[in-house]
Amino acid sequence: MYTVSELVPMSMENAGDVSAVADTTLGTLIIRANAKVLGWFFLVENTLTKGGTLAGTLSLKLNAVEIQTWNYVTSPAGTMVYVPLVDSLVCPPGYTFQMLVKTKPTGTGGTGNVRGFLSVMWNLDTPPAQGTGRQTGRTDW
Amino acid sequence: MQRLWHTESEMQRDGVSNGDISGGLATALAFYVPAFTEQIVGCMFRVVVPVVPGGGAPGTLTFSADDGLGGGPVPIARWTMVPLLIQGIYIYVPLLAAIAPIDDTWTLSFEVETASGGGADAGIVQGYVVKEIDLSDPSVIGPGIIYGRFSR
Repeated sequence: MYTVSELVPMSMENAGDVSAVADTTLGTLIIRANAKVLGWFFLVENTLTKGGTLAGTLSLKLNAVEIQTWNYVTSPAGTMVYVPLVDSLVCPPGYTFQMLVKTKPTGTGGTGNVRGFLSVMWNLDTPPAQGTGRQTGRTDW
Repeated sequence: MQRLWHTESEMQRDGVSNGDISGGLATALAFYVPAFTEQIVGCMFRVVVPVVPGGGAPGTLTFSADDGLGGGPVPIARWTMVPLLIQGIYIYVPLLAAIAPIDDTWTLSFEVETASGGGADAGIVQGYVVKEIDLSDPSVIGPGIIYGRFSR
């Protein structure tokens, strides 16, 4: 049974420091029980800047395959962006999600600190994932 | 703005209208007249129809405040957008410092500005005022008010 209106953002395991030019993995989340993934959030904890002249990107990976990307320019601390999936995903146990931050390899390095979250509809009796820093919340849009 | 996330405070959106940016360089979205003693902590934009700024450069989404003293609206939060190609995206932009309008002569407004030149712009954006409310006062929760609670 899925709840209809519950959006449960779950914290990835690590914040991502994007001060290095190279790609930074924010964290990994493994689905433990059937769950429907609707989208993903990221929260800018320290102002996010890009390196180089082009926009940087935040990406969502499913089982090591990039499925969605968000382009960013500069975002002040406290900014939250919710990116819905074009089609929601019904995920069995074992599916693995990762988020990455990429800054551009030209110019100066990007700076900032980002946290990523998944937005999941789930059976309240069987939490779909376990991990440190897990958050719960309800949003009615 | 951090207290929005680290406490049990609530946020609420209000003052909604659509903005169609398909035709011009700058389009006003909504005007919102705050009630007395409201604490405005940020703004939120929602992409109703995917946004493609024309001209090759990013466009901007701006949230402004006008204190009614004749100086006109002053930008207090701005989001630089690259193409926002996914319908349903929400962007919450906090204010660097919360504002508490002193009376209802204040006006808050949103504007979409796309880059000049180049191809046509397209998209529809909604703007929302984000403010803290006191849930112990049920009078602040009425029809049409949608709120979300975040706790950590």
